[in-house]
Amino acid sequence: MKQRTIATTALAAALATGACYDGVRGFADGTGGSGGGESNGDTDGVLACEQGSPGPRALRLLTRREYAATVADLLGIEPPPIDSIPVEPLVDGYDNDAQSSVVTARHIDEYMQLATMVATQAVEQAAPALVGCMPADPECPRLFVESLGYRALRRPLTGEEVELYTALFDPQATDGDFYEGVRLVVRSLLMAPQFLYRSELGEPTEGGLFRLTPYEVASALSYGFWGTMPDNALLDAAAAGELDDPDGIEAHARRLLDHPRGRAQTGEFFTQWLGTGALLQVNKDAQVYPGFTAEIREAMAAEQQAFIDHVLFDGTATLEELLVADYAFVDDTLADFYGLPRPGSDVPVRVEVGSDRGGLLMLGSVLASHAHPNESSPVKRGAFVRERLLCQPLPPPPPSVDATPPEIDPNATTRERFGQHSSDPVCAGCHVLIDPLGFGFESYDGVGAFRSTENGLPIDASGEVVGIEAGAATMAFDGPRELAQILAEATVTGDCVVHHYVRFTTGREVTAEDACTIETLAEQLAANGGDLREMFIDRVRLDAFVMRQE
Amino acid sequence: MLIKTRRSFLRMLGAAGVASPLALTLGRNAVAAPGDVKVMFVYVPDGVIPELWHPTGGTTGFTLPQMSAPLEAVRDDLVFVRGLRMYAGGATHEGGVAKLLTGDGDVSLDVFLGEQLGADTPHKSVQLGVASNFQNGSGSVSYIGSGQQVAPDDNPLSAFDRLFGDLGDPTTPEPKGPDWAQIRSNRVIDRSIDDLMRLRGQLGGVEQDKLDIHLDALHEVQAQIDGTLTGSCDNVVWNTEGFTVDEMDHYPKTWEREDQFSLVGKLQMDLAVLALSCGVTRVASLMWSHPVSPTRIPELGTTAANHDASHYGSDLNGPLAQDFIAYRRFFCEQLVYLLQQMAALPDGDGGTLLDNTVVFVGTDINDGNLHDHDDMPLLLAGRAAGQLTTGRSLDYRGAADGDNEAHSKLLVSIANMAGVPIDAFGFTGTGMGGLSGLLG
Repeated sequence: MKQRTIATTALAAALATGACYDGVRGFADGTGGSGGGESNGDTDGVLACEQGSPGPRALRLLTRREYAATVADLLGIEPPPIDSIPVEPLVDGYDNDAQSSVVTARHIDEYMQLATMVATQAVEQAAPALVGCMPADPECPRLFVESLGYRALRRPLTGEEVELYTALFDPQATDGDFYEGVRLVVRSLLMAPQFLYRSELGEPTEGGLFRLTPYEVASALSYGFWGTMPDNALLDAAAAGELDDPDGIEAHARRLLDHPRGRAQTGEFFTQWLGTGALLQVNKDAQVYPGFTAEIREAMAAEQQAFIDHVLFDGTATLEELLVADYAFVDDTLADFYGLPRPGSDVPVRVEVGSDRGGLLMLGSVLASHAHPNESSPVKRGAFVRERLLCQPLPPPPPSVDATPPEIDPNATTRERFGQHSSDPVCAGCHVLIDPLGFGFESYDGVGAFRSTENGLPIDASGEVVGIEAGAATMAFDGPRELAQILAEATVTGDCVVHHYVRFTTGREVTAEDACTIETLAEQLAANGGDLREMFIDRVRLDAFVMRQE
Repeated sequence: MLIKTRRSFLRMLGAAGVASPLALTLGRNAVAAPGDVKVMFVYVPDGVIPELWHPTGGTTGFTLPQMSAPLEAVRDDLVFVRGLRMYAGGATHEGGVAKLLTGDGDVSLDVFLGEQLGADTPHKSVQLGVASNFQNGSGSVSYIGSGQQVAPDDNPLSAFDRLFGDLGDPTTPEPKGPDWAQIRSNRVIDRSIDDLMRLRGQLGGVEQDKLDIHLDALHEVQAQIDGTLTGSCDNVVWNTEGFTVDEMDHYPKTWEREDQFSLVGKLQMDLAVLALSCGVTRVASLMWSHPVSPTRIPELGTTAANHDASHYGSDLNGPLAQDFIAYRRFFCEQLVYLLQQMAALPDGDGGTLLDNTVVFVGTDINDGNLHDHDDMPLLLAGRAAGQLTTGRSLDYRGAADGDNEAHSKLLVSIANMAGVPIDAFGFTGTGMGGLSGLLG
């Protein structure tokens, strides 16, 4: 029996004992969860289960981040500002949902503006390097189109495409100015759907499936590990047939992952998985938290990146170390905020900590992102653990429930004020899954600072987690470090990070169809001691990485 | 709009020289055809305190309680509509905002009407926002397809550029010779359309919906670049306040800052009115913030943010309820401004823009405490070229065989008023057609 199924059964049991309303059934039986189905073995159109499940053939619109990075790498300029491109919807916390990301007239308008701007910039700054041949050479337009087009569309242009783009050097449009032709080609390449969408269509292969072309594999690797277009080494590898087998794919995957850009993209996965993008955006009440300045936010963002970077690339790379690390990464600014001794550095450095800091659950970014503007939030923190670390999604409150939050009471702690969630049977059925988890974070206020009292009353940071393993009763803990220990020892946590990594890399909702992929990666993760970097690499070795279906 | 010279239109006119910030210079080419109804959608976040919102006292001689009282100034231009439920779909804020303009269908009414009515306007529909994307975890009111939301443009300067950026400075002489910028932009767009058609042809139906939407978008912008479709105004006056974006603002960005909220709102309202009046579009929507709104408006002196205040509890005299009332009254005052601007502009044959528009004002939930979708606090404004009799308060509670009537019927009625003869839009569980007794 698969671990994930255990988790959803445990959840179902937990929910069944409470008075949680009907709307929750869909979540309890796994249809709303992380995919609990079994899969067939080797039949037509289906891979062997241990090779994962092929996703659908797709066109994936570049996210704004990907667009900026791609344009910068393509033209050798600074990344352009992307505030004007419409915001992507965050689907399940991820910005790259291909299904939801459609190109509207406003997108076209903004893409046109940006293309014009960067084309001018690229020509001004580095025309000879951009063009690569002498304008006087009558072959130059075609050579330029072939070479830039290859990198822009991330594959060699067809003969027809070369003709069509070279035709932009038409005096009727350029007025005889060679560099007008260059600008027109750059603008047109940046407007091409073949540029704007990442192609994961593949070519027909046996069993009615489709196999990604070597160039599509190159893009899948570069966007997966770097968030940008393939570098020349990857494109060359595609051309040379090195990406035709898992060993060649793995070699480049390791190269990309260990590179600084791989570390940065890994950090981006953690930000989206843990929902800490809010750190740099969310309003906090300046009267309640006057010390929570832009500098603190930046310091917390740096803390998160440095910590994850360290664990993944200089440490064991395990979820366990991420959760129960007994050290933190702080600079002087953040050390002051946390009440730690200053390390004497203006960049984050490793410091030893007691049980009040260290690990994912006590990152400032996590604590501040999952809170209210003016107070902590047991509900948000409990929901965070349920949904992001256990992959046990919670239903919304029932229609027409009185969802008035408890009044701010200067004579009570937050924990006391939320008492109705457990005393009122209408609330308790669902909130038993949330609040007791979240109460364990109460030593940290709404901006992640440590506190031992609230309104003069001592903080009680004891908590409970129910439904984490089949047959397990409620597990008690005191403070996030003990909760982290529980999570580190639970198999569901490993399954959950696999679920989220698959979500992040595929750009679509994870469904029961993905069961094989998740099961295989989760088993391999457990077998390799929980090494997440190896899990990242294992993913690209699966057939599912290169195969698609209609 | 980007293709011609990108000149700035931030005209800093002294107050003495300008009768109205929306004064349009002479030289408008065309007047709207009679019966050319415009539609505007306005979203306000997080519901109401029902007993302080709904008018009392009958269909015409109604009294407005505390939350809606500022609308007294324009009561003759309004139709209050209560007793409509947003059936089906999801619950609470997220479910409500997704249903408000879709009726639980795939496409929102603004996008749909834009597609139906937009053949003659450079922009099919326009979606503007006031910090609507900032910390938004709940979604937009506008959808181009199932789950495919259209994010409003929260930056009024960039929105203005897209809608009016092709207007020339009348003090600069017309350039002689070929318009190279237009010629080149035409080439680029044509190339893009050709690339898309080739890609679409190769795919045999895979991802066709996505590519069709992309192709429509290309065509819309192509018509703008071609100049085939233009608005009717030669010149507009906008942003006399001199709002600018500070590049140093990162989080929040200038147009997301609390202290800019009401100014950005005013600029967006002005922009929507200009766009409708100048034939740039016939459909506009404005999202004030978003569900679960973190909005706090400094000049109101409130303590709680909008969403926190919307959970007002049991004490209507308590601080949360008082803050919530203050926010709702603020949004009512903005609506008054909007309608007064529309009423001041001539449109069509002797009427005003307000005469020829229907404005829909809605929110994502009913009662801020309850998060419910029953008895939604909705209202209409404007006369839709004589199709809508204003100065009324209508009640549809129990109108569907004892249940509340479906709000999707109101969406049908709005479409009908705009000249689109549908009889269903989204949910039809209480029957087909529009809202009976609404029109006329």
